[in-house]
Amino acid sequence: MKNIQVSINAESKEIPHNLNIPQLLDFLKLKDELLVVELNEQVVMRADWATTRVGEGDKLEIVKAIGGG
Amino acid sequence: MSDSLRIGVREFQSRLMVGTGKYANDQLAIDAIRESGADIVTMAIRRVNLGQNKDESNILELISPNEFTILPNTAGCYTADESVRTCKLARELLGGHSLVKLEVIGDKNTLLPDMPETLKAAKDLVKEGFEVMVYCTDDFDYAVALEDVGCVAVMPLAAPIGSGRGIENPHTIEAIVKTIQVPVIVDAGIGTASDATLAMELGCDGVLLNTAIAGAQNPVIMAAAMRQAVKAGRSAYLAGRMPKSDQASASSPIEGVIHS
Repeated sequence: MKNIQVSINAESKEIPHNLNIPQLLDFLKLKDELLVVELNEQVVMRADWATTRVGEGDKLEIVKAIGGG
Repeated sequence: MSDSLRIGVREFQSRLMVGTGKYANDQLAIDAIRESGADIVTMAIRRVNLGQNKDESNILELISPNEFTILPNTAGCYTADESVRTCKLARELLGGHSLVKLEVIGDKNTLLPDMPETLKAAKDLVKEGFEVMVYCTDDFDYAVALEDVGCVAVMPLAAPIGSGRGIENPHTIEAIVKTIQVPVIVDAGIGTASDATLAMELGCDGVLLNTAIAGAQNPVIMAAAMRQAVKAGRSAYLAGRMPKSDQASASSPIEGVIHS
């Protein structure tokens, strides 16, 4: 299957076709706990991670908590 | 005597809230934060690094929601929409937790808040079911407006973020405290213990600070100083200070003094 182009944290990335969120995080070598994913400006609830597939041209944000005031 | 702080439906023992930024290392951060006695601890929400960093530590492992009430902030947001988006991410990250610190910055040099956008974001967030603790200027009318739209705490600055200049306009802070019903928490600009005490003596319900501890020569000792300062100021406020006078008034009786 062909790879697709997506934007992740404003970086252009080539990823395998039809990944769900856990598979995407695994592909990116990110631990899947303690972070949150937004797909096309909508938060993806954790309960929906397995059924949410990433498609060509999607814009993703993957964020976590850091030190701040 | 119980003197807990109520914010919305929540109750806290400590009136000192602390940030988690700018510490030299993780151990110093957790040591200082524990020493401060704070119940509420702020954090920021940021993009993860897309690198080979599977074992990178996460602040939520160090400063756990099981030990502290995490207050995610919208630091770095310049519009109402960005800040609402950030709060939604934070809520999902923290398992549905709806208490947030709203800040919408207007200028990257002064870091002073953009108050029209802050008010707009506050309205939107309250509508979305968030409990909003709102960082604001020490502007009286905006403080009142933010309470009116349903914020659970109003948090005027003492001075610009990270400046450590202390309370620049004590009279406006006092006027806000005397007028609005929700907790008033001085947020940003505190430099040292006496600044925190003054905030509490003015009748503020709490103090939120970060750099005053993290930027001290010894953050752990300063954390203890801040804990004590907030308590001392609160006690002085509750006790009710003596009236100020232009005249001296001897503390020892005049009668019976020996004279040569």
